[in-house]
Amino acid sequence: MTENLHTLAAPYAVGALDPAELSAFEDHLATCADCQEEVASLSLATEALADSHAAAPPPSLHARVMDEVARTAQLPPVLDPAGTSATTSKGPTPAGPSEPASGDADVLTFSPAARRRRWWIAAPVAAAAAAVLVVGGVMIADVRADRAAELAMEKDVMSVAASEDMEAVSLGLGSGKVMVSSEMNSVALMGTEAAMPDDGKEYQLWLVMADGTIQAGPTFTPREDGVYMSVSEVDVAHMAAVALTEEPEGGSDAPTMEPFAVTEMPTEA
Amino acid sequence: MTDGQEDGMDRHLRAVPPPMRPGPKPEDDPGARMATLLERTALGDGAAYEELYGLVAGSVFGLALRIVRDRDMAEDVAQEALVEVWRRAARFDRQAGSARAWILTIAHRRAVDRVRSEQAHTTRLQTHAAVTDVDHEGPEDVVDTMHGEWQAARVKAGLQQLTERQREALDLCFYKGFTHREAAHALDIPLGTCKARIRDGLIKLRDALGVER
Repeated sequence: MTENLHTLAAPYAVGALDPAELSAFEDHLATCADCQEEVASLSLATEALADSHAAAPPPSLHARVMDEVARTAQLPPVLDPAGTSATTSKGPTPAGPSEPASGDADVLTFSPAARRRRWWIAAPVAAAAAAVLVVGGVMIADVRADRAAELAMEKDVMSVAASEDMEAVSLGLGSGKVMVSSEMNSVALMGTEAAMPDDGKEYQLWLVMADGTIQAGPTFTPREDGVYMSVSEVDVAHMAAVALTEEPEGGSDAPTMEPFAVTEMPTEA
Repeated sequence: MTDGQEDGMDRHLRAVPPPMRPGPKPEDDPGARMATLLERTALGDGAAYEELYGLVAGSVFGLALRIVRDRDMAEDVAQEALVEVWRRAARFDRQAGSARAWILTIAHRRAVDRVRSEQAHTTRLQTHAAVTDVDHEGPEDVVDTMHGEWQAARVKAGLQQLTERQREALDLCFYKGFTHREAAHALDIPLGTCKARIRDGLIKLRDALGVER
């Protein structure tokens, strides 16, 4: 894929990369001045495309937005200024390779999916770092650790997503999907708009096998903004469906409640 | 804050037309104005957000509608996107691009996420009609501002410079939420060809629009 990465700039600009490509391309973009230039240049066109359909919004929209805004906390600014210029078009000052992207979370190229991906935080992995952030204040080192954990999980999820035999089914939690790869013996999931689990609980995925037995899958907690992502190495052969429950933190060996979402696999692996 | 607000209204009224005005002074530049509003929003300034809403809600809703093709769903998507603008305003960096682009990026991503989750990709592939044009005049596309009218007209004209095939590839990817792989499959062309059509189409559109950074 490496030699083709440059050719992904245009699909990236129109938001047409799949998750695996997006991950690969963004890592590349952080250090490739040519691609930064190309993306910035093409995004002038995509901005125009995006802005050419203005329509009078329903009157109810204003009240809905203002009402929700009044209840919505704002994110703090990005902390690492060294990274903010990494993928902009303004000059050849990419971040060093040793700190790939902690600060470029909101690069303003016109790339829909890119922005979302920056907010995948690997909740289970990053939990410790997040706690430090809350207690000790926001420190750059913590942000980097967080980002490293995020990248590590993303990488695993993306390798499942990119595997030859990947099958995906939707997951009844916000808007998300479960991806299964027999080749990698792994199940990965990611999505957005998830409701938070009850206090002291986290979500857990279960694999329902063709013979009716149930295997424990990964646990996860969505971020405050509803995005979630998790991955786990499990035996996925003969898996017939996935189910989702809430379990006490740390997960359970067997489901403690009726699942609130069950999705059958398209065909038995 | 009262001063700023009045100032803002004034600017807003003057800032919309005329679109072709060459080299606006920085303080009159609607782009700079919008960036300032977004930066004030990042500090929790509700009045700035309110004004920003007035400037972008039509574009955000219209883009969502163009993509999801359903008014109720488009309203949901627009709401999500506009709240996300509020929530993430501190991450905006005016050095890296325009406020409008930043906001529309959020809206586009939300809308595409929605169509992708609403329709399994096989369904999207199947429902793709033989040839899809970039239909710029959907029945719901009621332009509500001069800004919007201007934008629609110039983009429509710009798109005329593209080949049919380039328009088709852009339409599938940008407005229908196809990945470039899915678009290549739907159009029955090699992936490399599909990528080239997207790229060439964007370049031609950019040049036709005469936009510069």
